[in-house]
Amino acid sequence: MSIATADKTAPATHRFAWLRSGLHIIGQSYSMMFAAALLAAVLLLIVLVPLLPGYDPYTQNLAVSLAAPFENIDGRTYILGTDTLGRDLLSRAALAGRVSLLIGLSAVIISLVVGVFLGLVAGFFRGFVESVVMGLADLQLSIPRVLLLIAVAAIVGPSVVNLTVLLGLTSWVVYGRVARAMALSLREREFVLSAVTQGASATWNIRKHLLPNVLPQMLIVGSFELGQIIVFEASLSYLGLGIQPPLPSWGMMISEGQQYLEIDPWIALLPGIAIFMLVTGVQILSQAFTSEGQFDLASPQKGT
Amino acid sequence: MLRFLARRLTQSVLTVFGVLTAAFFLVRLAGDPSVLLLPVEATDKDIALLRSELGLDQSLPVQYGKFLLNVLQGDLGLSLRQRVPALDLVLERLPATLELALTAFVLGLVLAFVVGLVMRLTPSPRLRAAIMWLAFIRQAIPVFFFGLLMILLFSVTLGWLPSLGRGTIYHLILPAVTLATYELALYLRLFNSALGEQQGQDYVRTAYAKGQTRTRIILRHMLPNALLPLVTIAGINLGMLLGSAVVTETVFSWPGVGRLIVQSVSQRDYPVVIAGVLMMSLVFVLINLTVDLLYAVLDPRVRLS
Repeated sequence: MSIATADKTAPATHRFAWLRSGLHIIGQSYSMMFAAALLAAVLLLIVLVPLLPGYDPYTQNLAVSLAAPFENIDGRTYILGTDTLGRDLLSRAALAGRVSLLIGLSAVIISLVVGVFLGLVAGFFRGFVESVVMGLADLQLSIPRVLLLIAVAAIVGPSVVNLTVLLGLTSWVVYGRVARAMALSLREREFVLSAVTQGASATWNIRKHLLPNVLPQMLIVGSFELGQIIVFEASLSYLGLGIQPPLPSWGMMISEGQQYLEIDPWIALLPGIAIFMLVTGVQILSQAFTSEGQFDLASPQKGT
Repeated sequence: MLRFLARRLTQSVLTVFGVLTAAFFLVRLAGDPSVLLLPVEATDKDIALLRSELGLDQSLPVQYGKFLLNVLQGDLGLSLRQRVPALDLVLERLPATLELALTAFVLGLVLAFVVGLVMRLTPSPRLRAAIMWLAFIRQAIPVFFFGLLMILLFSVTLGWLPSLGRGTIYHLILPAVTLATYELALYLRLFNSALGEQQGQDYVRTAYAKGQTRTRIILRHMLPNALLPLVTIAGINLGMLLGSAVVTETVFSWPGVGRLIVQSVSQRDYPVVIAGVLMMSLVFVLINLTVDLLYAVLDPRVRLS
């Protein structure tokens, strides 16, 4: 990923090279393979389980409540067991994973768009705009994020859409700061200066010159944030301030399971393990791409 | 130093003011509290009466001014449920939160210090890798799930420690360890690289040349120099720790401000929620201020920047 001009004419093979180097990193170390395996397992759960026969996250059946994993009742095997209301935990875990990942990805996109926009505008125009944006960022960092999320969730009321927007809007600061820092150095570069002298508008400059240059970095930050946001969502749902029943979420499932820890610890353990696998996988892989990104920045020849 | 102090104080005051303003407008966004307070069969007259009682019939700037004035006098409104000042409820819970957060803070530093030293002194690279992996895995587990694992292991399975509430020192162990270990991976990495930086310094080479043992050099010479970054980051993270404490308190039914906030949210008791969040933000701002000032005292270069 070059820091120099946006390279429209980069050959298509470049993209595959990037992917290939990613796969290369994964193949190189055990921790990367471990991460890829974790992610693959979670993705399999999320994608495949809803396609299987017997997928039913909602139907309650008190006759089979608190079934143990692999317990066979009335000719039906509950692979991960059931919760207190007799709902199939495998189905619920799969649906919860879909919701989690959907909220996580959407929130990352929202925060990325907001953060990049504010950061680039602040870095390009400087002056008053910059003071306002950075002041806003400082203010937001002066409240612990969990508290801010709780306060706002309490007031706007929890729903999937509210939660997504909320997580997105409270996570823009990282992108904003990095984008601003990069814009500060980019705006002094020759290709921007020459465009300005030739009368290019600020909008054009930001869109054509700044944006393509900061985007790769932002995607790396985003991949790092994804794990965090999924944990925040799970924490809020655990506290009862996130996803609301009957929709399942890993956090809520853990909170429900905590009451039955002595009788049936699996109810709480399974969703927790799912969160751990997803978050660890995302975190390790994003670390690999972070070092890859820095490597690219350090050697500008690569990729141009 | 004075200029630094003044600038930093102004910044803190501005932050608190910003938080107050945000809180005020957030609550107004939430809609009319008088509708929530009154029973469904209340007449329009009842609503109007309550609205004028609460000052909701005045213009927004007037309400905002009154709100700020009240806050300055320590009046954050009455709890909608318990009809006592919201601030009193929060202050009642504050010691529990501070007890948990400070214990976890100190415990985290001690753990990082001891484990970091073990990592430095051990001749076994496998042990080093194992410690780093454990710390990393710990960090990948959300606070509430780690707390639950601790309960499952130490309360349910082994029966060694109580899982709920506050009282004896035993009640403090599980929540404090849960909170303290969260940043361990970060601290270890920092401590390790700080020690590594000292490794190549001239004074270390001189000490080796004098024939001192490796253990002694690490403990007596390198350690004091490597501690400062660790303490700084821990100080900065104390705020994050307060945030995680909110969740931890709920896991262990610890009667702190965080649990109060979460409970008040489910009871729609907004004044208490706002009072709790304001109080935690205030503590957070004060901690950051203290850490910055301490750092400026310890390291004169900070004051100049």
